[in-house]
Amino acid sequence: MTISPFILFWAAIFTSNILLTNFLGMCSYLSVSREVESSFGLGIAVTFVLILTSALNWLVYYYILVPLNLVYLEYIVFIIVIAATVQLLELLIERFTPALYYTLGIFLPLITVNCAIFGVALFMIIRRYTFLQTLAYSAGSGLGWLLAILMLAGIRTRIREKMVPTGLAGTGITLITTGIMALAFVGFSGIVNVQ
Amino acid sequence: MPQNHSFLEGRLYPILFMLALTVVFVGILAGYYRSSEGRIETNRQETFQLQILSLFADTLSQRTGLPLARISDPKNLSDYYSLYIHKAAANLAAGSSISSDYYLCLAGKDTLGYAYNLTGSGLWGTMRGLLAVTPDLSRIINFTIYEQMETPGLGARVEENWFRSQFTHQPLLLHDSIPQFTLIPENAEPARLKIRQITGASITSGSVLTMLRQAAGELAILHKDNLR
Amino acid sequence: MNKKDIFLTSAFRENSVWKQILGICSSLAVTNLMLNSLIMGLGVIFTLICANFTISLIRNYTPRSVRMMAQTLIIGAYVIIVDIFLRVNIPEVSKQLGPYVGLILTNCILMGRAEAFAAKNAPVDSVIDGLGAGIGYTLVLLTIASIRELFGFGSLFGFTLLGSWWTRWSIMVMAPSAFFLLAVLIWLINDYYYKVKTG
Repeated sequence: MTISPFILFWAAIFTSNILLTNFLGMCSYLSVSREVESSFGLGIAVTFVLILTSALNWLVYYYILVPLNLVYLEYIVFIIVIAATVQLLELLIERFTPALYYTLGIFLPLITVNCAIFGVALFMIIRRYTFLQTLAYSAGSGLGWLLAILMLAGIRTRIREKMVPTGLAGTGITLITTGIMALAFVGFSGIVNVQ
Repeated sequence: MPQNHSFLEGRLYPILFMLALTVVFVGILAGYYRSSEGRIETNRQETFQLQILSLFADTLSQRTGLPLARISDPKNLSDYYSLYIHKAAANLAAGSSISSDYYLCLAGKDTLGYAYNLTGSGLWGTMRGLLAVTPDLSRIINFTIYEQMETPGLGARVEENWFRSQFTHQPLLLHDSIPQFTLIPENAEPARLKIRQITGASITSGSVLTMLRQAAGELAILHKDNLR
Repeated sequence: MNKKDIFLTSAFRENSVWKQILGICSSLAVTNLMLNSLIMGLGVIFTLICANFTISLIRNYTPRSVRMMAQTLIIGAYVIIVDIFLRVNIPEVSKQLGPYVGLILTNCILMGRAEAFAAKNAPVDSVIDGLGAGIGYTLVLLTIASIRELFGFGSLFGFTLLGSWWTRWSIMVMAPSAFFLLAVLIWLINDYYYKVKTG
């Protein structure tokens, strides 16, 4: 009943895209997708945090929480691991790529409350993934999120020049665009199983 | 208070603060969880037992003359469960999709049927079902999915009554051959060996059939071994 | 600001979903059924009230450097309480909501209200603000869910309204419909509710 990590990786990008199928990671997605460059930077940051935190959370869950019968604290423990990782990432980015640091601004620490990261951690526990499957799924989810935000950024750049009804401008048209993208991705569903 | 101002902004206070906060809240959570642990487990067990009993409710009602409503009433669960259902252990190969614990429905000395605990994979996660069969394994008495993680409103509809009841009285092992169930559209006419799928959830519907087919295969082997 | 103003502001004028565009994640996932939306809404209201109250209570003792960590811990604790409560008392709904209960913790609304209001205002006011934000959020969820459940299942709150003659709209059951419905809702509100402000 085990699914190959390789298939999980591709499934996480296309058939069960964490954003277009599971609706996770919407807040920063809607805000940052105005520019393609910052979208790319944020997407890469999110992918990095996803892989690292999923791996750490998997280890913490199975080697600390379960043996000590503290599973009910999983939400708090996971979010702390994520917060610490994002703090570390912030320091690294500020040190090595300050341009990215200034472009992302407030959205860098906001990665901590990105539902996609927390959601992937919860999903991997529910679906009882092995460590390798977790790595594959989190890497795929990150790249899937990156793909979605890049596509939206590209589309929004084009929409800027068009005439959108005032009430729909900004969030409204972004949501409709995302809905159409989600519809397109539904076409991928069923190609692979994620469990 | 002026003296406290530097203490509040110092290095020690934030650490003490977070420590105190953590202790207080983890304490509350631990207390609430420990006091509820028992009830969560009892809930789970009772739901499971009620499901097994419900699988045989019709058969038991016919056999004992007790009204169907009385057997399915959760208030009578402990009485009827201990009276009619017995747990046994089967000798199964490792990696089997059927749990080694299985259940017999007994009325007096007669075995009315067996119930097996099946495991399969749906679209989003593990699916678990209970399959009740006649003692000779030839027909399905009842079938239910009791655990799944499919999309609510789509795949999760496998738990709905109309879907589950399609399996009642369907053949299982006919002369040791496994039946080939196929999916038909939801609004089609019901037929033998044809299962009306859930519209928009063909994968979940297919996964249910796969789970059933695999279980049937293993039961066939078990049956042959027992006869020898 | 008096109590009524606080409530109306957080529930309608500065509604978390349609004005501040927060809390979208769970909004979209649970809105396929009204019952799930209601339970999720109640869970968010409970967490908002308790978290806002607690954070406001200790706001004068909370050092600036650990403010966000403390808020996260408090919100997380109440989310766990909601999760345990659901698992004990309504296990079927708990299973259906699945990971989305835990995701209340990352629901931007909670952190948003904690930072914007509870950290700077009195406990009772913070409770009202939390209640308003939660109710505003729940109303949005229920509105979207009513359309999705009615056209997707022909029912409302599980009570069948449209019989078997109705062909269910699969799109209403699937993810994309939530995006479209929310967009239309924002459009309508921008055009009619805020028209007074922009003239």
